[in-house]
Amino acid sequence: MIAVSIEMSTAQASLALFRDGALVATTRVGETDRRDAPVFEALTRLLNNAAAHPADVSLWIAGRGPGRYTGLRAALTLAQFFALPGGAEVYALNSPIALAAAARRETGAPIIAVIGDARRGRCWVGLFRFTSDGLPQLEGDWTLQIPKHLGEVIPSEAVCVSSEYERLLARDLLPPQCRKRWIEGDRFPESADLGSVALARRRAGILSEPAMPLYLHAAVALSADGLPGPRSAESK
Amino acid sequence: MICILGIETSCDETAAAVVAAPSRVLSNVVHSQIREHAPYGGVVPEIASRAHVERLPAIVERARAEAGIAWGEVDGIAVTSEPGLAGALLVGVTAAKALAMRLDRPLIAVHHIEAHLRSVFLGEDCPLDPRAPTVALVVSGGHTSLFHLPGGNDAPRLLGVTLDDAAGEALDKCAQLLGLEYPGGPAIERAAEGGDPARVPLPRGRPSAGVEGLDPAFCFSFSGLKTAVRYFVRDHPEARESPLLRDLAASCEEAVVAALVERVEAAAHRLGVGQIAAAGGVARNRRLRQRLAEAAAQRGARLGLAPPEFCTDNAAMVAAVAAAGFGRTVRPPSALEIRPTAPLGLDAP
Repeated sequence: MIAVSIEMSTAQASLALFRDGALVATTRVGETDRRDAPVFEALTRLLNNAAAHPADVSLWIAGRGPGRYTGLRAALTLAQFFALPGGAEVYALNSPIALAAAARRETGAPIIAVIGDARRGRCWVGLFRFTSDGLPQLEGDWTLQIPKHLGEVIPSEAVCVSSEYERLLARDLLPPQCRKRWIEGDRFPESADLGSVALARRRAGILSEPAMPLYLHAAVALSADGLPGPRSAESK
Repeated sequence: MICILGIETSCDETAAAVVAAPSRVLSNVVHSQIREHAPYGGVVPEIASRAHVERLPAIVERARAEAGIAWGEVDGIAVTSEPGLAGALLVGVTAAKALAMRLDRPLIAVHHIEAHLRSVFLGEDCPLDPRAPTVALVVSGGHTSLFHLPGGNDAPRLLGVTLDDAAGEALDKCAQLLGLEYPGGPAIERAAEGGDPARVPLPRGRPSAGVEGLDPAFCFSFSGLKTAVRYFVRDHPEARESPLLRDLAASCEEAVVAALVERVEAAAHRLGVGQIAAAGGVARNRRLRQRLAEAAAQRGARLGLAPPEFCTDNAAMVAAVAAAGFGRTVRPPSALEIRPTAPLGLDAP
């Protein structure tokens, strides 16, 4: 069985190919800002190197973010439409889970807090604990926090990691009490980790998350009534 | 039977369709996002992109199923790749590329305006001869353009374009000023029923300068209409109440319709064509259809109006472009790029 994993929630997008559960190859995707050609080129390269055709893929794994809108949409659309004609399976899961798996491997920490800049003065936080098999699991739900209160929601034994570490640091969004527990530098979710976690979750009988982007940023500026402001609307 | 699957996501309609060559529509599935955008009085690009991602897979599958064909019977994938909202276009193009690669079928890139133009040939009882020259109007919330279709396989030539607001956009803005709902075109049409279109004199947009290379006589301008309505409502607070509302709505509708029909008549006369056509969302307007019918009858010209179900954005018109042998086949499919701003017919001789 061939599975392809697509992770495009950050600037460091990548694809991975698995055969019978084992990682065979990974490849980087070029800059995708408002373009999807690089991901198709990378996919063609990956499949050609494995002597495979898209029709041979029976499982499409896609990271649903949170992260770059264009990347999330491309990953999920690509997975769903490659899967559609032959009825292949689509397995979607949040992207930070791949970062949590890598951070756990690196630090052995019992809890990994994955943090991102949700813009407009908020950070999003996902706390991951691990099963006895080492499978990361999101504890509770995603939370949006004012940065100065981050320390209140992150347990003391947690290690923090982010694909936007430098950005958070530059904008003074990392509270001092949290800094000593960080993996320093930007760390990006990798398609190989995403695919490995997805395959393990599938084996454990855990269902796919909805094949929809995980948006933790407001679509447009919120006004007092909770609706996007009129300046954000573009008349058709 | 050659079957083309079409995909359209350039703005706020998520659509898929299957057309058998040259123009038999086997299925046409459209999801309008009007409800999602209505609270904001216009299309919010980010919301449009999100809705396309959510709905497109089910809509494409439904279009295939309703056409009664298997995936293996799809002979080509056509997709709107230009112009439109970037994020919205990208969803449809990514989907189309994936299908083309998965099925090993050609990918045909279609210009949204050309799709509207060709929609006048859809429908069982189309009176137009595709080989004969035609003056065609594409009028919607996003576009207002006048074309010369030379006939046969020749490319359309742009005659005129709006210099500011599109006609539908102007109606949206006028409707907002009158306290009517979104979308404004249908709301004004309803409010105008029984009204006096001559009651409030409103400008009909005669630009003195056109776009470079275009004759101002064939160009449009609707921004003055919106301003005139704004001042009228300011000076006549009762204008948002019946019966003045009815007359004002009828006057707005007349100003837009007259501006459109005048240019169509002028172009048909100048070029000496025997066919007139109109497509796009505003082409559903009954008054516009009636006035164009009168203009065509006066000239002894054939009139082709896109069937109402193909006036608003849809994928049947996209698939029809490819099924008729137009559009641009992209090899390999991965090379197709979106072009959010791309004129049609400016470079033609």
